[in-house]
Amino acid sequence: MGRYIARRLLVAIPTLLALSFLIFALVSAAPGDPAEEGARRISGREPTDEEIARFRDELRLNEPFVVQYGSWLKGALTGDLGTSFSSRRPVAQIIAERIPPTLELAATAFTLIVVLSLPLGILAAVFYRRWPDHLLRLVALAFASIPPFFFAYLLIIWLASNLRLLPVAGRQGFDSLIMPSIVLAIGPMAVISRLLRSSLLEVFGEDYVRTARSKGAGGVAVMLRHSLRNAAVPVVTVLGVFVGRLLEGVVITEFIFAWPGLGQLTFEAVHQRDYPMIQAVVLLIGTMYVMVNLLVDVSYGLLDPRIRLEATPERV
Amino acid sequence: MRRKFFALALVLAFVATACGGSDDGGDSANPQQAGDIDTNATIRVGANEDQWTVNGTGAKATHFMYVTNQNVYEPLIYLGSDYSLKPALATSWQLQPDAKTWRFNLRRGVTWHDGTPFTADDVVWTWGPRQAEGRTLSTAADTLHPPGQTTPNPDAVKKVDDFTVDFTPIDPNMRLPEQIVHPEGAIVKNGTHNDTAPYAGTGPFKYVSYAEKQSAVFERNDNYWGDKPKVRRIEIQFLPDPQTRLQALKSGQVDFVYDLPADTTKSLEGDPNFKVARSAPGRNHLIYINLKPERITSEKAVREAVTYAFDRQAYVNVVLEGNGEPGRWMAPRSVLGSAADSVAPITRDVGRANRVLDQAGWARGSDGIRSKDGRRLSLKVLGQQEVPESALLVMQANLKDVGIDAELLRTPDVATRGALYARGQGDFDLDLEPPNQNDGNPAFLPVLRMSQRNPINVQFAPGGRFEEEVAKSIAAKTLPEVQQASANMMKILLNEEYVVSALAGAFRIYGMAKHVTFTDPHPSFTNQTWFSLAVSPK
Repeated sequence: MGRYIARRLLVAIPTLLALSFLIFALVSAAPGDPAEEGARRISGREPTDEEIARFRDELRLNEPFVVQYGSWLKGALTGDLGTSFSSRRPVAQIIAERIPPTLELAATAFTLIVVLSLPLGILAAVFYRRWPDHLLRLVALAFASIPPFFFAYLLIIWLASNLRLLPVAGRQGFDSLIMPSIVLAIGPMAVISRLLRSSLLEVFGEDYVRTARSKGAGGVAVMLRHSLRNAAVPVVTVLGVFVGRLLEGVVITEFIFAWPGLGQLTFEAVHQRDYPMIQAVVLLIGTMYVMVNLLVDVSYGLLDPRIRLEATPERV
Repeated sequence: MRRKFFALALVLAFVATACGGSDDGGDSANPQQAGDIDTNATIRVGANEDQWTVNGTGAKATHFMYVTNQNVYEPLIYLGSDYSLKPALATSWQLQPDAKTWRFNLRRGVTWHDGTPFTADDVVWTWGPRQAEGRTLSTAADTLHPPGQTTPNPDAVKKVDDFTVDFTPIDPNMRLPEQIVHPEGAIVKNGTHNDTAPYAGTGPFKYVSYAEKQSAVFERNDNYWGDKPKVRRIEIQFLPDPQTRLQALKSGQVDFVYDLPADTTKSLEGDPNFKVARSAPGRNHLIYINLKPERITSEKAVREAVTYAFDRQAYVNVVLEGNGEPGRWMAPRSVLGSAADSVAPITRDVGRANRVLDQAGWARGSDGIRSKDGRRLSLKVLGQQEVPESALLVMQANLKDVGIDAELLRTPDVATRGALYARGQGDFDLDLEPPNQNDGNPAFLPVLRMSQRNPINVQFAPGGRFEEEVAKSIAAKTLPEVQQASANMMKILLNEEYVVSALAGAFRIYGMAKHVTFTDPHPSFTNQTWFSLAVSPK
């Protein structure tokens, strides 16, 4: 198992390097002049040519691209992600302030996904081709189809404005966490519950499940001990993908619900062309995505011993 | 069957329906006073984005100066909602015999929120050494300190005595008092900045708390030198999404919201539980027309046709949903005073537009679009990010009616616009912008955007008589003189050379619960004060 994890970690390093290069290159290639934009932000008015030139020197934009990338990467590895054009504060400091609200939101959404998908997927599989299965299929289709921003407005109008059960927006206690978490969770929950259903139905047809039943194992035991764990492997893969998508989804969700996290920060940075911030946030989200997928890979080994054994070369 | 029932129960046990109790976000304090207003009330305000970090830190910060504003810090002179100058921390001001120095007499008996007295040292600090941070504060500061230099001009601001200060611009600036109203010139305590605690200002509200991007809370300053605010406390929630702001009002999470989109007013006005307040037109939707020789719009006939093609009333109806007036000037009418009448209104005249183009040799093709000498009459229209998509579509339709094709280039953000605009060297013919008038200088916008004195204006500067009027406006000693010069400039731009088309003057829109009153909405949002905000007992 240790070697399995080590191998996965080794693969993650070049992936992260490639990601960092791609991010730096894409942001550098975006329309607009970072020096002009930065000078405009600092002066608060249309900058003079001298101010732009001075800022270009400060940002070292006259240096070759590779040198710029190297400096930026070196800074990123040491925690220096530059200074925000907008606020003139260290980017790392601003990001550190915004991580906890996003983690709070993402963790709640993830919990909702797991807590809701499992029973709904099981229910659909157990009642295969009966009315609960059909109903859940329709509900899942609806939730997977609705754009998150539209669903957010629907929830706000229904639960906050009309019924006045929850606050509309802002980060003010547990109540305010409910709607944005639901918005983030609803799409992935729909997909994962359907995937779990399919996976369980496949497992139900396996010999070992039939054997367990014939030996007198009860429904719960068959489900928990024999079926779920085997059905979980593809589900875990998709969950890993959706964790990454959660991080994307927070951008719009946090803006609508005025949630002061990384998503809102990303929105502002892109809107204001805060280049250092854009680079840093995208790098952070990309890194988290790679790490989550690494965890998913590791979890395979825990869920399915065959994967662990296949990873170990046979000694002759 | 029993197993399936158990499975169902297991599933239902996982389904958690959390319904929290609503938090109405605080309540107005129980009214302590009978009468029309509750002076002990707390009002919850839904604001748009938290802007303090937008412009920087130290002297660059606009913390508590924009929007949440200026109710904590104050300038020397307030800009009234009728664009008149109102004494604030300065009680009077005079141009000295050297025709260059402005002497400001400061208000006595004013204290900072920490109890220390306000004196001339604070003014000298705000407008002098504080500039060393490398940021100039508004157009007034540009005339006091050399733009782009980090070292302030030591002669710019000098203390005469504890309550008298002299401002000496580098060159004579007759418009200094009108410019100094800008909230970025609000006075901060000697040795401090407005972005660091304890945020002690002189204004009618004191700082209580601030959570970046989330909330800001202020309380009435009971030692304020002027009329006390009518509410005890303002709690601001930053809600960047306009629809979220609207729903926050409707749900009761907030009592008052500002900067509402035009399309929300009907739903509020149809509900007896809410009210809408509108300012006079303060934001003018203007089209600037490119005069560079290689552009089609360098031909006056084309510019005249464009000007008469636009249906300004339709623009107000469709784009602003009725929340505005057809455009006539480049600035709010009240800034120009009686001189405003000398600028003639322009209404859509398709016949005139077609005639002018026919006479200039622009013949219609089979697709209805005109051409001349093999050149198609196709214009590139740049739309600033703050104008809605519908604005460009209305323009496009209007232009097509007179045989002009319009290619729309809407820019989603400042940087994309900057890239297309290319500091005035960009590939565009018409530029739609909604500028604000944020100070009392009537000549501010025409000089800023059309004068040859600003080198990036090469594409819009008509020169000639216009520059003569610019010089008059700069040298004008009295307000009526500068108003007339400004009106003359606008006549040249709008009525004679057709360099600018005024499409609409937009209202600022405020929404509020029925128990809230707000009688002084300011056309210049950066100059909005909250003195008139009041709450009736519910």
